Parts: sequence; C-alpha cells; structure tokens
Amino acid sequence: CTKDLDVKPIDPDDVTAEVVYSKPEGYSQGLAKIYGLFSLTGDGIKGDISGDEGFSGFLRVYWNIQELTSDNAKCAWGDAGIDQLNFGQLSPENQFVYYMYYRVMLSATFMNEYLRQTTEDKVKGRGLGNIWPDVQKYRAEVRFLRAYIYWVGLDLFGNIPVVTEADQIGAGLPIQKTQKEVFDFVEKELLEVQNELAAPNSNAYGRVDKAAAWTLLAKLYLNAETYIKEKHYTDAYTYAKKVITESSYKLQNNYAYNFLADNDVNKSEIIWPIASDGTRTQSFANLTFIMNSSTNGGDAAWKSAIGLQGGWNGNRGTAKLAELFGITDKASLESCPDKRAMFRMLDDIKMNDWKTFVQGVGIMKFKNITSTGAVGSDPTGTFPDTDFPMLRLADVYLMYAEAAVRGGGDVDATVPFVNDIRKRAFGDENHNVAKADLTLDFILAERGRELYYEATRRTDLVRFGKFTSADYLWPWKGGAKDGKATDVKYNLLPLPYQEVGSNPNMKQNPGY
Amino acid sequence: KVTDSKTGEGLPGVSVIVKGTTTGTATDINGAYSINASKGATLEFSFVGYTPLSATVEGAILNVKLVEATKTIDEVVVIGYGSVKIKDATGSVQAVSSKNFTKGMASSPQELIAGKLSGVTVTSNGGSPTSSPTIRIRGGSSVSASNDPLIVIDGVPVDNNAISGVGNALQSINPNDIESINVLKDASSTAIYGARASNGVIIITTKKGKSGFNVTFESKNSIATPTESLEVLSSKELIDIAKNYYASNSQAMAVINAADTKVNTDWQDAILRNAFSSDNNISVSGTKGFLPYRVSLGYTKQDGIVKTSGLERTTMAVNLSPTFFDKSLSVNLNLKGTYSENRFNQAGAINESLLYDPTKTPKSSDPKYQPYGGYFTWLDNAGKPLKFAYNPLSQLEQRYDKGYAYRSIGNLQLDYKIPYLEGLKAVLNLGYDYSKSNGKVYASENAGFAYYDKGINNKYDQEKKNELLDFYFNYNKPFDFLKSNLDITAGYSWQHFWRSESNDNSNIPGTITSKSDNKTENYLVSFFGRVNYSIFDKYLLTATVRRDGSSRFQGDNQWGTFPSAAIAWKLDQEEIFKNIPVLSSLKLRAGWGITGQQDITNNDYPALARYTYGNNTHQYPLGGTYYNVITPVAYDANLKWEETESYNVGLDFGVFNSRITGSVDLYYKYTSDLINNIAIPAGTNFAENIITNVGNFESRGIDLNLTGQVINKKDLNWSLTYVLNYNKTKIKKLTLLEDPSFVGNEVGGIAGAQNNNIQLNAVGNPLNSFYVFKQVYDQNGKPIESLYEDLNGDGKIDGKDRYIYKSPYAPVTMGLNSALTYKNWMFNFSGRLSLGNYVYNNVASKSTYSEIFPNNLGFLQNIPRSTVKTGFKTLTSNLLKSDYFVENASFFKMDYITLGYTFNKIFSTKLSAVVTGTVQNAFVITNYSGLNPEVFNGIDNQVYPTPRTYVLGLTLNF
Repeated sequence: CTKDLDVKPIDPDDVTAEVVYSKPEGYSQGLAKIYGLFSLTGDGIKGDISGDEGFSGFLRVYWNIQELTSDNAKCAWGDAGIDQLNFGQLSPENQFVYYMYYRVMLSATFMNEYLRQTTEDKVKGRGLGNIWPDVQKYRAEVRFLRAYIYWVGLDLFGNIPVVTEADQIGAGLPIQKTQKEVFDFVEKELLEVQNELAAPNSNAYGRVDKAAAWTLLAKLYLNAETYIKEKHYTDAYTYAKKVITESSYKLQNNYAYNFLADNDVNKSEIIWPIASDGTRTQSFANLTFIMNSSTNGGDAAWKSAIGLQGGWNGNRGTAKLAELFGITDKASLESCPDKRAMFRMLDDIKMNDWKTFVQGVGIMKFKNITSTGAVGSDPTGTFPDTDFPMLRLADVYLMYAEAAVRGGGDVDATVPFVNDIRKRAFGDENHNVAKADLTLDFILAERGRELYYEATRRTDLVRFGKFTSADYLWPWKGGAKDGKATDVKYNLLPLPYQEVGSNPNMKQNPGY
Repeated sequence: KVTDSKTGEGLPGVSVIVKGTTTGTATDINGAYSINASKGATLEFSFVGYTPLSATVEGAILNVKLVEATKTIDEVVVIGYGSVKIKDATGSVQAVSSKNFTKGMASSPQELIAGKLSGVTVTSNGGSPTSSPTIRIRGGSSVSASNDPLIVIDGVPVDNNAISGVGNALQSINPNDIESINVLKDASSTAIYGARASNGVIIITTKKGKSGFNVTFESKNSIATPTESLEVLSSKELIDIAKNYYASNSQAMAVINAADTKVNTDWQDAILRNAFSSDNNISVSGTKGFLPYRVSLGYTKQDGIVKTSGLERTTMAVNLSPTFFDKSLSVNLNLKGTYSENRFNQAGAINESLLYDPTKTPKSSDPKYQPYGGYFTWLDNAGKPLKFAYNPLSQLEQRYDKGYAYRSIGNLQLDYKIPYLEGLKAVLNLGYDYSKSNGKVYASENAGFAYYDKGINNKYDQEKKNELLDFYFNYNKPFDFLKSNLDITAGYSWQHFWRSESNDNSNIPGTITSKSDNKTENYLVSFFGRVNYSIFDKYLLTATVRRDGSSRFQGDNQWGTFPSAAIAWKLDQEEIFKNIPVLSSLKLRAGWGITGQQDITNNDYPALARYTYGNNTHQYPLGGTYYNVITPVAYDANLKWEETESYNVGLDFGVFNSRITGSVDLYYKYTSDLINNIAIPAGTNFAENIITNVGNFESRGIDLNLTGQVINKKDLNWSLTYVLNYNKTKIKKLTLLEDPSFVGNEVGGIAGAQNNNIQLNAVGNPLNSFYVFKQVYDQNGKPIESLYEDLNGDGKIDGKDRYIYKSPYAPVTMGLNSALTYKNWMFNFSGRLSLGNYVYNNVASKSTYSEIFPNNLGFLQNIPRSTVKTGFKTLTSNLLKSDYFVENASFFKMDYITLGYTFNKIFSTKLSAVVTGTVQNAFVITNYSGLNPEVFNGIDNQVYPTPRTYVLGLTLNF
C-alpha cells in the first residue's frame, strides 16, 4: 500500500502542466491568464496575491501610484498608506509599494512559466505541431507583456531583478539588476518581438500587435534620460512615427467614446486594452475600482450617470487638474470649451481637507454606459464592461511631438497630430497650436488634459522634472495643503521592505 | 451480610467461598448470603472493584465490610494501540474519566477537559453554540502547520479540518457517550503516532456495555444570558462630538444634522437575547446472553444568544463488545452517528452591532424603509440602499444561513489471542469517519444588504471520507528472570482521507455569482513498534519507533522515522522508600522522542507542480471569446516533515495513603524544519509567500497536577484538583541563511486598514508576538495621538521603530476543580486562571473620531467610550499599531458551579435520581477593557459574546 502515497490531484480542475498543455485550448487559457494578469486579481478561487484581493490588482495599484501621487487626483479614504500616496511620499512599508512590486514580479513569473511550457520542442513533443504557428504568436505576445511589466518595474522601482524562463521555480535568490540592465532587457525583448508580433490592426481584439511594441519602445526611449541618463529621443520619435505611419489606428471621433462600456466596439484608437466584463471578467481592481471609487454613493444621479452603483467616495480631481482646463468654479466649468473636462462640481473645488470627498472636482471620464446610452451588463451594478486603454494612439501623438521638441526629430511634422487631438477636444480649429506653442510646458499640460486618469501622470511628471520640485506644485504635494517640494528620492519608489528582508541580494533604493 | 465499608449498603453478587473447598455462593440483592460452613472455617469474600477479604466463621452470622480498592493506582490509561496501568506508564499521560465529569453541565467534549489537565489549554472561541474551542497541549510546536492535537476516537484518528455546515468538529460526539479522555503529552508516549504527534494526542474512548441491565436518562435545560456589553456613546454624546469634529465637512454635516438624537438604540441589546436550550439523552446498557451492549440516543436543541443562531443535534451510539471462543476473540464494535442542523449568524453583524449608529431604530414604519422589510437601511438621495453599513439586525433576521450535516464514526476491533502461544495476540482495527453535509445561505431581494445583488441564494455541499486500517501483534509475557515483563507491539497502519466539496452561489433571479467544486485526498501509511520492558516491577523501559509515509510530500521526502525511548523507576518499590510511611507511591520518569508534523491545512499537494482552472466570473476575453484562465500554483518540491524533538522528566507521587496524588513534569521541545508560510523573494514562485521548511522553534515548561482528598469521611467527601502549566516558547531560527538583519515574518491581520499586521514571528521571541510602536504619553498619562518613540533614533517614525511587546499566549495557566459531597448533596466548581496573556484590542484601536463618518461613505458610526478617553482623531496605520492597544488580559474564569442532590431508591430500589443546578461561565475577573479576555490568537475583533448559562439537570438511573 505504500504506492498510495504517490498521489496525483483527483479534481479535474486541478491538474499538472502536462495535462493543461496536452490540448490546444490550454494554450489559449494560459494566454488568457497572462493577459488577465492586468485586469483580474486571481482566478475567482484564489487571489494571485494573498490579503485583500481587490487591493492587489495591477490596474488598481498602478493607477493609485500614477494618479494619487500626482496633480491629477487625491483619495479621501483614511486607509493605511493613502496619505503617503496623496503626498507623493511612499515609504518601503507602504502597502501600495508592496502590492505594486509583487504584482510586477509575480506577473513576470507567470509569464516565464508560460514561455517554459510552450517551447517548440514541448509543443511538437505533445503532438501539437499543427498549432505551433499560433503558439509562436502567443509567445511573442507574452514576451511583449513581460517587457511591459518589466518596463513598469523599471519606471517605478528601477533596480529590480530580471527573472526569465531560464530561472526555474524555487531556484536560488534572484540577482538585483541596475536600471541600465533592466532597460537593456526591455529594449532587447521589444526589438526582438516586434518582428514576431502580428501586423498592426490584424490581431484579435484584446491581443497586441507590432504597434503595441512600437508604442512601448517610444515610451521607453522617451523616458530613457530618466532611467539611464541617456538621450534616446530620436529613437522615441522613430517608433512613435512608425505607429502613426505604419498602422491604421486612428483617433476616435468622439473623445468620450474611448472610455465607455462599448469601447471594445469603438476601438479605433486603442492599441492595447485591459478588458473588463460585468459578468465574465469581474475584478475589484480594474475599472471597477477607478469608477466606483470616483463616485459619490449618496448621489443617485451621479451613480446613474456612471452606470455603476458602488459609490465608494474616494477619488476626485484636484483644483490643479481643473486649472489645466482653465476651470476654477462652476461657471468656468459650464463654459469650458474643452470637451475632455468631464467633471462634476462638488461643494468646494479647493481641497482644504483631503479627507473630505466633496472637495475637489468629481471625475466622470469612465462610464459603464454605452455610446447609445445603455447601461452595462452587470445586473448588480458593481462591475463595468468598460475596457481600460493601456496604450492609446493620442498618447503616441503626444509622445511624437514631445520627442521632436526634445530634439529627436522634426517638430513641424508633429504639429498636425497635436492639432488632431485639439480639434477633437474643442470641436473646432480655433484652439489649434503652432510650432512655437509646442513648448515642454505645453506638452505636459496637454498630456494632463488628454490623458488624465489614464495612469501615466507620475511618469510624465518625473520625466518633466516636476514630480518633486518646487516649481510645479499641486494640492497636498508633500503633505502641504497648497503643495511643497519633496525629496528627489521620491522620483524612484522604494523597494518593499519585505523584498529587501527576504532576498539578501536586494539593496534598497537610494535615500530610503 | 456483606456491606460496603463506606456507604454501609449491601453489596449484591459478592462471591463467598469456603477456603479450601469448592463450596460457594453469592450475595443477594441486599448483600445477604447463606452458606454451609463449620465453625472455624475461613470464608473468602471477593468482588470486582473491592479488596478481597478472608474471615473466620465464629457464629451463625458473619457480617463483613468490603473496602473499595483504591482505584487511582490501578487505573488504566489508553496509550494508542494498547493501554497501560497508570502505575506502569513511562510517559506523560493524563486521563479524565466519566466519573470525574461534572454532572449537569451542558457541554461539548472539549469542555470536559478544560481546566482539568495540566498543560492542556482549551480556549473558547466566543459563546456561539456552533463555534469550536481551540485546544493546545503544551502550547503547540508548529508555526504555520496545524497546532491542533491529534484526536483519536475509539481508535480512529479523525480529521481535524472543519466539516462544512458544522461549526465544531467535536460537536458530533455526545459527551454523555464518553467513558474517558486520555491525553498524551510527551514524545515518548505520542511517538507511536509518529508524524501526527507533535502537538500531543487526545484519545477519546466511548462507553461500553456493562453487566446487568441499566437505563440512564439525562435531561438538561438551560437559559443563557448575555453578560457584558461594550460601552459606547449615547446618541447625544455622539452627535455633539461629530458636529464639532466634522464642522468643515459639508457632506458629513448633512448626515449628522439629519440624525435624530431622541432615538438612542442599544444595538448590542438589539441583536442579543436570552437563549433556551434543552439537552436530553437516554442510554441503555447491559448484557444479553453473550452480548454486552450499550445504545444511546441524544437530542440537543441549543439557541445562541445572538438572535437566530443555534443548533439542533441528534446523536446515536451503539457499542457491542462480545467475546468468543472462550474469550480468545474479543470484538468491539462502535457505531456513532450524528445529524445536526446549525444556523449560523453573520459574523459581521456582531461587529457592526458594537458601533452601529445609535440615532437609528432597528426597524421603522417610515415608508422609505418598507421596500427593505422595514429595517433601517442607509439610503442614497433616491432612496436606494448604500452598499455599506448594513443594519445588524437585518443581517441576522433577513439572512438565513443554515448547515445540515450527517456524520458517522465507527470502528470494528478484533482482538484475537492466538492459541498455544501464550501472551500473543493479533489486533485488527477497521475504522471510518464519514460525513456528508450541505448548507444554504439565503436572503431575499428586499434585504438592504442584498439589494444590488438581487438577493442571495448560495448552496454548498461537502462529503468527507476517512478510512482506517490498523493491524498489529502484541506479545506480553512475564519472565522469571529478573522478574521481568516483556510487552511488544508491532504493526501497520493505513489511512486515507478524501474530501469533495462544491459551492454554488447565485442570486434570487438565478444569476450565478460564483461556482466552484473541489476534490482532494491524502494518504498516510505507517509501520510502528513498541517495547515495554520491566524488571522487578521496578525499572520500566519503553521504546517506540514509527515510520510514516505521507502523500503530501514527494519522493524521498515522503518517509520519516520517529523514535522514542523512556525509562521509569518505581522508587516506592525500593526498600528505603517502603519504610517512609507517608509515601504511598513514587515514580520517576524520563523520556525522549522525535515526532513529526505534516498537517498542512487545506493543502494536500503542497509539493506538487500543478495548475488550477479559474471560475466563470474570472474569464478573460481574447478576440471576443471568453476563456477560463489556468493558473500555476505555488509549490515547494522539496517540502518535508517538520520534526519535534522533545525531552520530558517527570515524577508521580502519592502520599498519605494516596490521599494526595500528583505529578510534576519538566519538558523541553525543539522543532526544526518548521513548515512555515513565509514571504519569499519575488520572482521565485507563483505567489508572494509559500509553505516551506524553514526555521526552528523551542518550548519549555512545567506541568504540575495535584489531587487531594481533603476530607474523606463516611458522609463528607471533598476533593480538590489543582493543575498548573508554565510554558515558554521561543523562535530560534527563521531564515535558511544566517541573516541578522531579518526582522521576522509579519502575521496577525487586523481590522481598520488593509493588509496591516500586528504580530511578528521573530527569532528570540514567542510566536505571534505583538509588533508595535511605543506610545508616548503626556504628564497626565494620556496617550498623545500619533506620537511614538523614535526607537532607532534616526529622527523619523517609520516601520523600523516598531518593537516586540508581549505575546498572546499565557505563560502561566492554572485550573482548580473542587468536588464536595455531603450525604446526598454535591457541590462542584471548576475555574481557570490565565496569567500574562496579552490581547490587542482591535475594537478600540480601529475607532477614532474619523471613523464616525468613515471614508466619506455616507453613513455614521458610533465609537466606544474608550475613544473619548484617548481623544484619538485620525485612523492611521501607525495609530493602529500603538502598544497602547495591547493590554494585559490575564483572567480568572469560573467555568462552572454546580449544586446537586441524589435521590436513592425512589419507588423501587433500582431507581435513583440526581438533580443538579449549574451556572456556567459564572464570572470572569480581568482588567482587560474589551469584552472578553479569552481570545486565542490575541486579536480581539468580532467575537461572539460569551453568555452566562443557568442549567437545570436531571439524571435518572434505572
């Protein structure tokens, strides 16, 4: 009877890798897990990260770090660690730091597993040679997503380990890499996979193509000076231009359509979305969080306008964000010609107390309502159908212009694209800009207007040297009501103390 | 006539023989006898349980008094795959038998031993009828693996994991069926259970059929009443403070101004009640022909003091214990069955009731609440419920959460004395533990808390099977050489655990919110052996070894060997001690052993690389097709046993003709390769922490127990039992590599902030030590908000300024039991003292002024009066971790006081009755400021209030 000890799981939903990958659909299910890492928090049975599952989801924690530390938004909740987010001063003990870091590294670990299990030898060895061409594409997409998640790690934490499919599970302690090494890895991967990915616009919705790789390369190069003190503006310009000229992505006619429940249909501008679905792709971390947390639960009209019933009374925009649109009060909001200002007046636009939700401006950019006015599919009003645009063409236009202004290319060539954005925003050409208007300050402000609430703001402020400095202040920066300068160390997040504690190879980032 | 020396009553059935002849007779029902014997002949009187007596015939009447044999000395304890006389035991073994159980208590099996055995702590888990107390023997020896002792019921080691739909795993055993509870504490006695023995073993033996025909009926009826409540603010006080604090928050002020201070609801009162319970048992035992039998039936209905909670339970037990072939084959068959229905209360409702807004009435006739059953509900400006702060009473009354469970435990033991080989027997034990349960959680669409979900209609099912096969030989033979005795046991054990469960959650219209099912199993295969050898009945030696294989591990790591050895020296048999008249027994014991641990809660495949499929609400769309995701699961392929090496030295003694008996034990335990759930370097596995073997842990302590017959008169008896345990634990190692900078593993999640922990497992400290900031106080001794000592002196307050302060586990626990009888009266009590256990008062810590209108979510909450005392305004994660909230929760708890009277010979000689009145949880003495100082892991949050219970009991014996 000692043979009884060699058990295999008896549950049909609990299987070994060989069982999973013995069928073609296993490769799609595995790929769904990898894409799902950006939207879901787990598989519905167990969270990827223990503790409060919703808290740990990629978009929720990434959005919090990108937006709440910036001039865009502040959260009124008293939860632990939110004060540090609002003030832009995160410590190694902060739970958002912890969740963000582990989300990055854990995602990479899942991606590595996929790459290990789907090699050509293994697929053909399982007698599935016929699907190898598809699997090859899946692998390129997974490598892109891994490059993306390591780019997030580079952008936020800088000096992180780079674990790949060559590192076995349970193997030794990962080695910390320098920012330069992480940068090189991301760059190398993107340059390689751009050839293997599907042609622009040719892939199924939700999956990435060459344009995604080019967009991320443009982002990587545009920020290179921050990451590795090297100027790569020409490269940034080149890859932004590639997206514009070699793909058929085009601006959505109506700005607001990018952020509605049917943006999987009105998708012409979205290069890579994070999918949500009210009944099938549920998570407390994706747009569920952004939308519910930005809505007043006591205000039925507001909840109906958003199409969700949560009303968590957390996040709202700052007066500084409103100011980018020239909005200072109710009258200026009503007369604002820029249609991108999807705001709602609260009791006081000034935020004398960051813990009072009804101070600041309500943000109604994302809605669980379709372009025809129908409410999303979740009957309980908790989970939206709206997808989050991770990479969007308008961002590429603005990167194109910025790279040029920073000396990476011909500024003149980029002016029409900036004006495409302006025309859409104002509905006319009266607010178009000329080459002379394209200053760095203008671009930062325009990015603020176009991309607010889209989880890019902290990165932008760091790149423009405004994240910690005294020359650009916003409410509650540094913990002061009107804002004040903070230590330059905050341009890079600290590593979570748990990681520094459990891996002796890891050294804390400077200043912490 | 033959009478009992103590009671003076006649003894029936005493055998009377004329010495040297075959002439004999037995006494009749009144103890009378007649026999033909000549003057000067000697009559021999003998009777089971009494010391035999010889007397010379001097006349026509010879009355004798038989003295009851001193029971304690010859008592037998069950030690696993056999039993041993207490006087011959070499290990630390303690027993409580049914005659020491207090009559008249409404109890669960755990309560039968609470405070009665040294080194065994039973911590009640609040006062819910469905909650399960936590048992620890000598403090446990694991960190992340289970610390529960192994529980063996009639030879069947049962699965400690909870049964769905049942709160308390031991609930399925009717305490009235229990004959004895034996506790094995040290490694030399537990090692026979090898891989499952590190946390001690509790062996429960149920009653067997007796001679004759006996009927016992027992009925207990009780009323439980709530005791203490948390002191919170009145409506007016609350609103006054809120108006002041929230003056600049227009959203809060709108809600505050709308509050009606004329209403002042006590929400704790609103959800509590006096609860009635009834417990009735009948048992019939006797011998019919060759067949001794016992059959019992029990029915319990117990309401909880939190409204709607309660249980109903029917138990049945059958025991048949015939012998065949001239007693060479003994058969012992036990079948136990239970059916229970449990109604659970929403745990959150208790917590919410502590701090719910007092300006609202539980129910209201206001039309705006009528869509929600008339229960007050926080509403938005269109009259729809907010998704927060649900009415506690509605969470109880509008939610129907019931579990239904069948469980049966049984075994068939065949004990065969092999002919022609004197002393050799073979034992086969086949056992099972089976349960099938299901449950339902229901709430209608108009319950405020389920409004957006459109009601709740959740179902779950579970089936568990545990099968056992033991086969062993036992050889027991005395030798003339050195007057020695050899007792050898060797055998094989196989056990299989299988579990299948499913959850099916949907709302009332039928939309599935989540659905899952799961099947899992594990096996244990073992070979074991034990040798007991005694010389001159003076020197005793025991050696055991067990080799265990567990399917939870892989390859070479599956098998572990667990040896032990013990010696005992009966000093009372040495001439020098025989001459000390006060000394009636004295024995010195020493033992050593290694035991294991493989019980990883809810994970049967921790060392196996595997994938799981996700459910339908967590799909991801690619190109319009929604795929169920597959997720690789974290594992450690090299996972293996955790091992505990322990030493025990003990002394058993009896003085003054055994009127005072007791034992004292010193022990030391060292656990290595701890099965530990620890944070791992990011990027090395599919989780941020995994179960692996890392760390060492030690505990040391003293067990003492003393029993004294303070008074031992014909009509008046008073015995006292005192037990004491001193236990000190320390983590010795936590990392694979030497890493002095490693602070420790944070544990002990708390309410008030996400992912915040209050405890630390750190080298050099007890388990789950509190890890806190050092609060700074003003001259008046009032804590200053958000001011903590800069312990590392770096000029700022951050995580590095936290320090380790106290532990939740009491280093010293004591128990005192008293049993007094005077004629037909009895008076018993039992109390426990716990010294040096600390509790983190999470109810107080999470309550600041900023929590009156928390997170701007649109509703009001009350605060405890203690918050007004500190005046703490803002909830921060630092404030939650102030040492101010870690309180000394030492307590004395009077578990019960019982008064009883026995009526003998009512109507007929056979009928006797005992009437008892009991107060359970009579009183608690403590300085702890929260509701209950008895909190197992030391974090006081969401505890079911412990009631005081008055029980009236009636026992009838026919």
